[in-house]
Amino acid sequence: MNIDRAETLRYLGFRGQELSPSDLDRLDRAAELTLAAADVRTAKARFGLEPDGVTLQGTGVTFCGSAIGRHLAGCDAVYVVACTLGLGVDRLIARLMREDPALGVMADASAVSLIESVADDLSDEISDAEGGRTTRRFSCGYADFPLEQQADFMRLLDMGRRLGVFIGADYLMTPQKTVTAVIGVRGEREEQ
Amino acid sequence: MKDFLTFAKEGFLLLDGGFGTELQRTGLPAGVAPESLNLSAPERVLAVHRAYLASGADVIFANTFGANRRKHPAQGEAARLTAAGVKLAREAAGDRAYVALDLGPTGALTEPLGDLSFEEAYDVFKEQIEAGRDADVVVIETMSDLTELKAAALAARENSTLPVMCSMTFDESGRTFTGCSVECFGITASAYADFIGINCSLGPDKIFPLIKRLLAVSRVPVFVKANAGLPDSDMHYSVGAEEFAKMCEPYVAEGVAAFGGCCGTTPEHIAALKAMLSHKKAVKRDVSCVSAVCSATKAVFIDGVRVVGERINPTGKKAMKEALLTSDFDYIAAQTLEQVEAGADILDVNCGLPGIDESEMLPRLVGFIGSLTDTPLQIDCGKPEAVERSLRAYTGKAILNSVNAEDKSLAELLPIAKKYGAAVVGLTVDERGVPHTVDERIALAEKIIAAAKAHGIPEQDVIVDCLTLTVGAEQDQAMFTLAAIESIKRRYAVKTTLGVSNVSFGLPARKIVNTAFLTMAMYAGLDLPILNPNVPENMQAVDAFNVLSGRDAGCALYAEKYAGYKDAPRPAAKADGASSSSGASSTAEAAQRRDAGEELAYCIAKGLDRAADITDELLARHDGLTVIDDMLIPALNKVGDDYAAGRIFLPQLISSAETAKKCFDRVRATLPAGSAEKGVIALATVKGDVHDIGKNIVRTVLENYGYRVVDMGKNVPPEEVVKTCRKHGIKLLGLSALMTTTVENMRLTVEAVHAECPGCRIMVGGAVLTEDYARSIGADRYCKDAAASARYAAEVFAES
Repeated sequence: MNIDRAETLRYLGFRGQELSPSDLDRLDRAAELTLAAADVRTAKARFGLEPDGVTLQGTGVTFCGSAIGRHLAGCDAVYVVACTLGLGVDRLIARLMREDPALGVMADASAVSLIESVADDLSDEISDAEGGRTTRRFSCGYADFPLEQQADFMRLLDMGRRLGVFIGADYLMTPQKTVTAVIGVRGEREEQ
Repeated sequence: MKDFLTFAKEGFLLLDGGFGTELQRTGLPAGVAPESLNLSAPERVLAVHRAYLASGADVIFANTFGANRRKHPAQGEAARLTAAGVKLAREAAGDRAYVALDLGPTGALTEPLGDLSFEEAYDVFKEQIEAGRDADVVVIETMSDLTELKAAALAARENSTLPVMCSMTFDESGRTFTGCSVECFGITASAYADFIGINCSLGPDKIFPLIKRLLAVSRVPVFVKANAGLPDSDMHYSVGAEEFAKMCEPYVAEGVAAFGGCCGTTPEHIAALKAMLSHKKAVKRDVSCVSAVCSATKAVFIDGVRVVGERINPTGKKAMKEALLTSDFDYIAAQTLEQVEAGADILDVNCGLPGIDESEMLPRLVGFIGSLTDTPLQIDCGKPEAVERSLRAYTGKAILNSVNAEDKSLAELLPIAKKYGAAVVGLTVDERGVPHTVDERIALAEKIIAAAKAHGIPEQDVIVDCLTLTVGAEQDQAMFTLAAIESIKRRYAVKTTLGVSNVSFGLPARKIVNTAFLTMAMYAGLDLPILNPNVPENMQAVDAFNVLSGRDAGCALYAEKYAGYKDAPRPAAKADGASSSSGASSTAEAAQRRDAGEELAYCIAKGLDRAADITDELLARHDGLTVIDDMLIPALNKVGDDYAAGRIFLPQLISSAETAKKCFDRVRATLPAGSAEKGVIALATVKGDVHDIGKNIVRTVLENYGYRVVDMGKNVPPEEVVKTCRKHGIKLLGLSALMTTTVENMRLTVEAVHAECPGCRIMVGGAVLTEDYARSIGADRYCKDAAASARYAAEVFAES
């Protein structure tokens, strides 16, 4: 779990422009503030897949859209995962955007880098546990995987109680730096 | 059966245990909403209820926790599930147990961080409360958002006569996910509930220290419904029934008499609790009323001198008057943050001004200030409607400033203070006017204290104001005020307040007299001085008093705060912006750019604070408009071009814009008000979207190009956008949206504004928008970034 400088810069639209010592100091400061404000929480659950390849066994949940079906081709189980940085980061960014907007956008970019790294760590952990037979993460809102299905993630992982994640009427999650995703596990036979 | 509250208060009250986990244990799939079984498989719900009844529970919680409209949006479904749930619980309970209507969180977060308005939350719960009216008690539980809890509790109080129990869920540190502390919950919810408690998240051992904190502030009985310990990674709970009951045992001695279980607990856990309690007697708790106020995340105990900041008040303050009349919330934000920085513990909020509708403005102001700071607020108004709307909009426990000793004031305002649990300032005046003796002041205070008591407001929530009169006019009154404070504090558990600075009106060097009076008053027993915390002498007097009275133990706070005092006898004007590396450009470089205009452009490009001084030099030689049009705007345009060409990146663009703003401010100060304004632009993030960082960047840049920006904020409904555009005669409107789902709301907003305000151009931007899409929803221009919006603004205002 870390904030990657190069990635942070990329989110800020950096393309090799000149960086002054003060820019670098402020990037450090933004990263420090973001780490201090973050209350990282993660959750995951493993489900077997029905023969249709998109229905989670024992849950009554079926993933919609053709893209997720393609993504999970050859999988016989999935992990449903979620991670969040907590509301402290939302509050930090809102405050900085008011008091010092340049630092605010740096903190926002730092937070994106941090949540991505948290999600990557979670993916790696799962991949290790499954002997590397896992797919990449696939999230609601990608291609035709509907955002509405965020409500299923909320229920499957009890995200309100366990992670402090809230969901709006338009299925957007708060804290804003929250990631949910599906990771497929390919069958052993499939792998050979 | 006895009435619920009579039964609940005469001995132990045994609530039931976990419901969702119990259903899952008996085979409910993980992705299915438990409340849907009320209609699809009622026998399974009944089976769980009956098991809890058999285990000895006095209260059966209906399976209605998630049966709300946000989770079940289909028309009428929430009400149907709720009614069915209560019916099933009743069927199981018969006349052997009470039925609780169980209300859990909506799953959404309230404004300003989330999209759920207080009113919507209220309506969601109202629907459930009406559908579940056949229950014996309303339980609001597992809450982590105090605003949502308040909406639910008020919905229960205003739409039913049932008793109310409220509980929140905390982590081990005693905070909810939204940052609400045990103390803030206890102080606030005591006003709205017959019982308050803690449930979920932790086992009884981990909740125990939190319950002790809750007991210290709660004015009502306390209950606990803990989990069977912490779950492992597979969501299995480890604490068995006997162990669970044993962990609950120490609660009894602390005065907790209502127990149950939450996630992972089973009928066996409840039976074990019953057995544990059967050979114990409920302990009567000493309910101490502490004097405290709070926001959702910060409690302030009035156990010593606490400073009330007076700056958000237009009386005698020209700039604040202007800010309120023009809805310039930036100015108000600055005043708020400065006072908090200077050490105010509580902020007074007043907007009494001709031309301002306080019942509309005050609640708005309260919401706005609450979004900036966690410092508790004092609502400064005597108009019942404005007071009620403001207290409703405030999450936490506020102070109402003020009632006076007139019968009308007491009769109108005390019930409102009681309803919302506010502390109340009582001014010692009545229809006969200002008292002139010590005894008259005491008599008026006693009348207020008695009236408050009659309305159920304890002395600890009454703050007496013995009135500061002007020594220049009535010299003997200062000592009378202090004598009255001393006497009232000796006899009652009330607190006292004074507006300090009035004492010196008409005298030279007023600070000298104010500071002395403040010190004397604190010695006499003043708890809540209302003053300007930005005047260092005021805070110094308070800090010194805390040392001399022994409150600042070991002088630790004083020593820390004033350690560097000699080196910096006056707090410097606000520290310069972060990029104050003025040394960065060497003298040699500076010499090469002899032209001050070029030097200004350089400083803006690099975000150097020196730019402001150069602006002053330029203003000595050129008129303001020339400086703007020939120097500042071209400098900013160059920054915009550099950004567009990828020569600088986002933070640098913003630093430049911030620096330019300081220059504009210097120029504006030399010009008649409004003449340097390039035009007025309205901005909003559309309804449903709370992602406003892009909009905020655009705002910063536009302001720094010299436009006045009316920022409507985020999650703004189309009708409000139309209203604002009309009100300000807006020629250019900017809309942002982040997600595809909210782009639809952008289309509706564009449509509404074009229909209602034909002269208004609309620019749109946001992550998912494209040129084509912008055109397809009827927007006038797609702006890919902040610099593009500034270019478009220049075009639009050049035409007019």
